[in-house]
Amino acid sequence: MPSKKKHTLEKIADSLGKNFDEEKVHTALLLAYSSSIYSVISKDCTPCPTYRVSYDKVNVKVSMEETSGFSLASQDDALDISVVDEIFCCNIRGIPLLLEGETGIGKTYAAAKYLSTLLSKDNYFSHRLSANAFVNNLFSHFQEGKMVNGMPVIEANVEKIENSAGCIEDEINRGDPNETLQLFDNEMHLGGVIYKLGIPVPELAKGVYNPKSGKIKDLLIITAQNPAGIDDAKFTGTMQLDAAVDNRLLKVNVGNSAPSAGSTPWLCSKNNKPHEKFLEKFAKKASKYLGVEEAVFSNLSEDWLSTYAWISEASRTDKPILYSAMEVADFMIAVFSGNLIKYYDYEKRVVNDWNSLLKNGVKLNNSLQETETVKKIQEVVNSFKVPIIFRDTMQIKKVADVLATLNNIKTSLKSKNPVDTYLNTERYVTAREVSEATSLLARNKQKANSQSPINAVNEILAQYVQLSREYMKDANCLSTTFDLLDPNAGIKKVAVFKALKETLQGSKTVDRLVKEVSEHAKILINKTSSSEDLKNVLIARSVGDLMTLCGFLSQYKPEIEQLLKKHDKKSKISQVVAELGKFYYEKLEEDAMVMPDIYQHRIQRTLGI
Amino acid sequence: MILDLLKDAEKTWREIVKLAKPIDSEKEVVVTSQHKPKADIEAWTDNKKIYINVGDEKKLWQSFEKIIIPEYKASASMLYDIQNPVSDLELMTSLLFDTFLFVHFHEQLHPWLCPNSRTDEKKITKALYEGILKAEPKLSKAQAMCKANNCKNLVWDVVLNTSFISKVYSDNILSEKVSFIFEKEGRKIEFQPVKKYPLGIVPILYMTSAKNNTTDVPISLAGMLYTSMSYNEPDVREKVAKIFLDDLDKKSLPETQVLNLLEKMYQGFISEINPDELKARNIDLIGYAKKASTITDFKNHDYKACQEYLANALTKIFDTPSMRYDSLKGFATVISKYVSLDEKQGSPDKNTSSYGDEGQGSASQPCDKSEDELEQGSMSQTLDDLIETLDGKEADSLMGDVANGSHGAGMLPKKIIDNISVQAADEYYKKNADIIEMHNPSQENVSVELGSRKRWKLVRTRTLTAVEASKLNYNQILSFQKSTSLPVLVDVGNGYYKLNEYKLEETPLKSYNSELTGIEIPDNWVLFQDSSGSMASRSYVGSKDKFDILNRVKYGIKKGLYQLCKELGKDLRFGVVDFSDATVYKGLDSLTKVYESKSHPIKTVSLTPQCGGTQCDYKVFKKIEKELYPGKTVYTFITDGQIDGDIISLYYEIEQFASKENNAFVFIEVDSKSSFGEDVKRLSKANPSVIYHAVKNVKDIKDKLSSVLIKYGK
Repeated sequence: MPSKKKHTLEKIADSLGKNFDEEKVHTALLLAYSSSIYSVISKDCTPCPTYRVSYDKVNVKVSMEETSGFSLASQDDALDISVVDEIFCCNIRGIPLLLEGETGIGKTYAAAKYLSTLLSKDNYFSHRLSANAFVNNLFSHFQEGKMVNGMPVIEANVEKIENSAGCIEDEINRGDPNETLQLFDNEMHLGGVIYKLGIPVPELAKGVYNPKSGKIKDLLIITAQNPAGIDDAKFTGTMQLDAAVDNRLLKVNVGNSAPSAGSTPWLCSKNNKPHEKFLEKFAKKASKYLGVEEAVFSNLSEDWLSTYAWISEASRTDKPILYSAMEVADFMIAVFSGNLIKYYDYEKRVVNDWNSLLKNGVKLNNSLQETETVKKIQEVVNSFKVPIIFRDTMQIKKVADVLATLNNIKTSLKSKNPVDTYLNTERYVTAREVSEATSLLARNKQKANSQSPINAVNEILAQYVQLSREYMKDANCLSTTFDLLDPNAGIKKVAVFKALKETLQGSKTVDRLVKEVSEHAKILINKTSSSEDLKNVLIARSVGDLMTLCGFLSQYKPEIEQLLKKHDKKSKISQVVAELGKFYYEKLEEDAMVMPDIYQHRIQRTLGI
Repeated sequence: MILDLLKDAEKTWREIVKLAKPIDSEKEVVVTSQHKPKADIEAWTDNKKIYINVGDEKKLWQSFEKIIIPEYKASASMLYDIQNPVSDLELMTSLLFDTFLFVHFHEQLHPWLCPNSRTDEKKITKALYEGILKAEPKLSKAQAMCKANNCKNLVWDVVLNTSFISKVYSDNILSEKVSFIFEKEGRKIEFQPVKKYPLGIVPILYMTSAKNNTTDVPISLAGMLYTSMSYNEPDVREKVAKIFLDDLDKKSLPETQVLNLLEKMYQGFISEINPDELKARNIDLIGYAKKASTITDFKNHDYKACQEYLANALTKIFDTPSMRYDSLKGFATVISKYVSLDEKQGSPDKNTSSYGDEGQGSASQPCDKSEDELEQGSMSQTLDDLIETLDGKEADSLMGDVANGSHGAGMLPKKIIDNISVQAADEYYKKNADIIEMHNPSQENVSVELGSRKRWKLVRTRTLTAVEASKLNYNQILSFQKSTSLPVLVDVGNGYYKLNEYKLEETPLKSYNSELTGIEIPDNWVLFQDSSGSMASRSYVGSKDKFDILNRVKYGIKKGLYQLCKELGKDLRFGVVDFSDATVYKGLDSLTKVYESKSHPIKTVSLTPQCGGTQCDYKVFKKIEKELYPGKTVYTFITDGQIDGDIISLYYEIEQFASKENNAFVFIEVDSKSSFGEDVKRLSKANPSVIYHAVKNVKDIKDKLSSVLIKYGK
């Protein structure tokens, strides 16, 4: 019997033997993958800068500059993002990308270069949509059709689906919105069947190779369009993307880099067989990073699609989010979600309703006024084509992950030992990435020619940091000052921690815990300001969350009291929080249908579980 | 040099704002040096932009050279927290730079700190009004309103400057960012780094005003207050305080009284606050009082701690909604006595508009409103704010007081007094007049053209093979066929298919709209009102005399017509002819515009009785005629006695007017029967367009008038 040919990933595992470490192998391959792709593409095309994002650590301030094709002098701590970076990020995080810009600035060219470098020509396709809506079929690559008795019969080509890892859909705004939605959801609906688009992801758990983990690496979707002329032109050709479609992708305004690059593109060499060159470089770098023979990669060409799926599977670059980052994200979403005054009134109602039930004297009396700050925030919100919706909140997390990953990879590749640098970097999503991601997302949602949302984002961040600092200093618990990378930082985190600590040192009853949490809510309410509206919104939201926690604790008093009694003053508070979290999830599973919605909205984020 | 320093200050201010208050970082600053202001430097804001005008650079430089440098020279190292002595020139440029920085912050902080919204502004005005009335119960309500108006800018500045001092000198984001930017920009004085915002900047512009004799008592008192918060060195503190003490002494306030007032101002801030509120914010009543009593002892060794405590406590109080307004009420009780009834008690930016006011300046003309207009606008706003925030009876009482002219603000320009009286009377009747009852109009559908409609037109047909056809977008095709019933894909046999393509073409689109019908109002309404002595008194508002009741009737009808205009989407031209000793007429204008505006010449005519004889000049008819809109016109003439003067010509004009198509003349005599009335009555019998009514009292006019002005269809 002929021996079964081993997969490249398997061979890597074999070569490393006892030294096999899945995370390290993934890091090495991810870094080799990233640097090789840029290395090949850079020969063919000059970069088209789109954004410079930077973070001022001392002043806790984010900057986002739209560079619009112009390259800038390098700056420490700044992350310059080009079109290729965006494609790369969307590739590894599984986000559909839309490149929007004038004709001829190289949107499709960059996308085509990326795909032709990354994949062999059988594994991706390019599709240019026509102005005639009747002949546009986004899924024609995956379909086979014939006419039977005058009726069209269309069938899915499963082999093609399983072997297509990427696509370019040019002039996407000419596509049928229903089909576009399906595509961006990585699905094709045909004849009552839903086909998942993308390729199977293998697994290499403990060095054992399994070609199908059950996960699918989403189809890399790169779309492009010229700025849309009209809002509504159903059946007639070009139109602005449907809001539902718009929300599913990362939109990038591509600027014209010709003035900045000048005649340099004349000197760029043409890469023949870019994919082959990419594989060569990848093999060299990967073997170096892993410390294995290059021969391990001898079958790489054959194994590439599955290797690629393993490297770029999105969950591998998922990062834990710090409590403070979650609070900032939560605050940003609240502020940008609509009318700030109405929103404040909603939180006020939540707090005051809980007070009526719990009678704990935690009340919000003031109203938010229409100040200049409120008006400026409203201007930003009004510039959104659609308000912040549920999907956006997920996008913020995804984009924050993307930015953190891109930063981690770029920082690592600048060092002498990229793999160790990457592995030793704290890979959290912090308030920094959340703020940057919110800026990008908010920009994405704006109507043309709107003013940048960055000042509003910075104002929100500044207000959060100020209140956190003030409160953490007062509470004198966990950390006494705010630090971006501090896992203990966070307003509600400190409040819950301190309340639990006091309770465990005392009576260990739910009544005591509710009283302690309420005291912290009162401390926050006492910080209500006549001049800082955003701070007041944050206070209202935090108090609303803490009061909801009190409601939850009171509702399940006997069980939670039992839980508390198991602990004493020496117990780790994080352990108690984890147990409360576990209890919450158990109750959710048991009582999902009857558990109040407000618990399901707020308990998890309050406990950070 | 001065303007360069101003530009540098703007640049530094903007860098600091980017970090401390990012949302304000793109706020535009308009710098001008076009006319010579009264003060050395003028600055104000419309909340959107900051305007700074340096009219006379040389004068400003000299003020600093002659007034500020001599006082600050010896203490410069202390104020800037450096080791070496500072040359005069270096000190001059640094102090100018820091003063300009303060001016920028001051204007930026207005909409942020005080007043930070219209609601805030209203509540502050109310607090001041109540404080003033509490301190001086003998004042009329109108006088208290004038004082509240005249000290509000000063009080906004007290809140703002105190908060600025606290924010910039204590552990706060502003002080942190100022230091960061100073370090980043390498700010130095005599080659030594300036690490913090220097002490003693806030009182500077108050000092130059005091020395140049351009202050009033409250400004100098505010200068004393800022002085007590601003210096870390006893000598300079004393020297600067002396400037204000000398100034106040000239204004008949001796030093002992001023020092006593300074302590009282601090005490006043907490005098009206519930002690529990203070306690909840860790402000100890006794501790605060002790520190406030120390503040007049400029040499006290605990002075610095006291001033820091007080500035921080006050900032906390001003920033806490539950204490802010009580605090300002308390402050008003202390300064009330010194606030002028006649003019605004100012600050360097007394032209800063009310919250949300769309600006009083432009780039080319920094302040294009006259002092009177600014004064007028401010007083009118104060009246509005008080009417809105006081409870019903209190508001009525204030409106009556103001409208009846009992404010006794002798020095206020007559125009302002008149306007504010009219505004108060207008608000009073708008609020208290009962609206006329109206039947509901009916609704009818009328055809309207909505615009154009797009229709599909066949533009091209292509022939496709079966394989080509199978790959078409059937969702689009089916959806199109379904929504348009047009054939897109047609089987033409032999394995071929025909694909039709269409494009949109525009055609007009008609529809129906629901309109209110069955009700008709005139196109012009002119009210002739008799305001002779028998009809009206000067203090008529709320007096229940004939003119008071006439106004209730007028406003009841106007309210009804205004509402009807809104519902019908129609307007009418409205005018008033007030006759007594003179015949006053100020033209016609849209009724909705007149009704909605705060001040309007027609309103002034309508609400300013002459209380003289009873003459009506017939020539006014010709003037009116020129301004009438085509259509139906109603003249209503209300009098309570014999009309003197050329009544033959008047009669002729009425006859002429009534003889024209679509015109109606309604003559109403109240509780009297005159020979002229008899003439008109006879005319009414010959000409149905003339209507005569004799009524027992003014109230009966309402029905008579409304039936002519509002016609219902059958």
